[in-house]
Amino acid sequence: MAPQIIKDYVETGKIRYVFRNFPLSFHNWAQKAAEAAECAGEQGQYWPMHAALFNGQDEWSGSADAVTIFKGMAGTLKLDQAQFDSCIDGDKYAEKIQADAQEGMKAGVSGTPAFLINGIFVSGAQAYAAFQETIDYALAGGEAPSMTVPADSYRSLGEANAPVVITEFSDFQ
Amino acid sequence: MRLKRTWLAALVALALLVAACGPDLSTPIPGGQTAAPTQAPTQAATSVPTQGVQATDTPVTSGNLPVDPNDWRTLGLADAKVTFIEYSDFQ
Repeated sequence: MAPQIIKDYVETGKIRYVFRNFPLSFHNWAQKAAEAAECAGEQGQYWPMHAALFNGQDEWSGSADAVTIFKGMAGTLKLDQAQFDSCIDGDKYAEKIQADAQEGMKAGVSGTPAFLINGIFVSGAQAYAAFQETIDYALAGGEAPSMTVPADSYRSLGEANAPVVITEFSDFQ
Repeated sequence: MRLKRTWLAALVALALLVAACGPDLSTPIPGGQTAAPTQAPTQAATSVPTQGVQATDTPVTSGNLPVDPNDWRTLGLADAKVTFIEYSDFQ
């Protein structure tokens, strides 16, 4: 999350920012890192651990034992060490994190980062201006593009009142 | 007599033809809807142009997901007009 978005929109009360986990399978420590953040969260230190994980990514990402590094971060943040260690060693939030990922997949997330701004899907890291445009659109009452199909569309098949609509965007080449 | 048999045969043949071409009433469809079409695209395009999906006022979103107000992974006001959800990992 760009600090500018926090400053311009979160701190001014315009938006609520939510972080959800989507640990990629080929990131070997992503799951445990997410658990570390959650374990800090239960002690009221989610955001400091969130920042420490991102800032210290180079240190733990290639490590053979990142969990030990996470425990060290907990110590630096003055967390209850025994509680944190028990939490992360016991996989206390493993299911919560996977539930996040499942929910994300249902919403169309397939890679990171991905964003939902009042339901408007934005994929990948974007420049501040791109977020600004979408946020301002949502603040003005804009909604996700309505994928409506004209009643006389000759490019549709099936019942007009079917409960599910599949729209394919494609080209012929 | 022979003429009478010919007429009778013709009537039976006509009755069979009407029965074969008429609607199948043995399996009624709930709500009185017609069965889902299985025709090829060209048939749909030319013969049933009004079968396209009706426009709707309900926007199709990518998922305006609920957020627990007590979730420690949120920043900002719970009643903010816009909810910005980021899916990411730390690695």
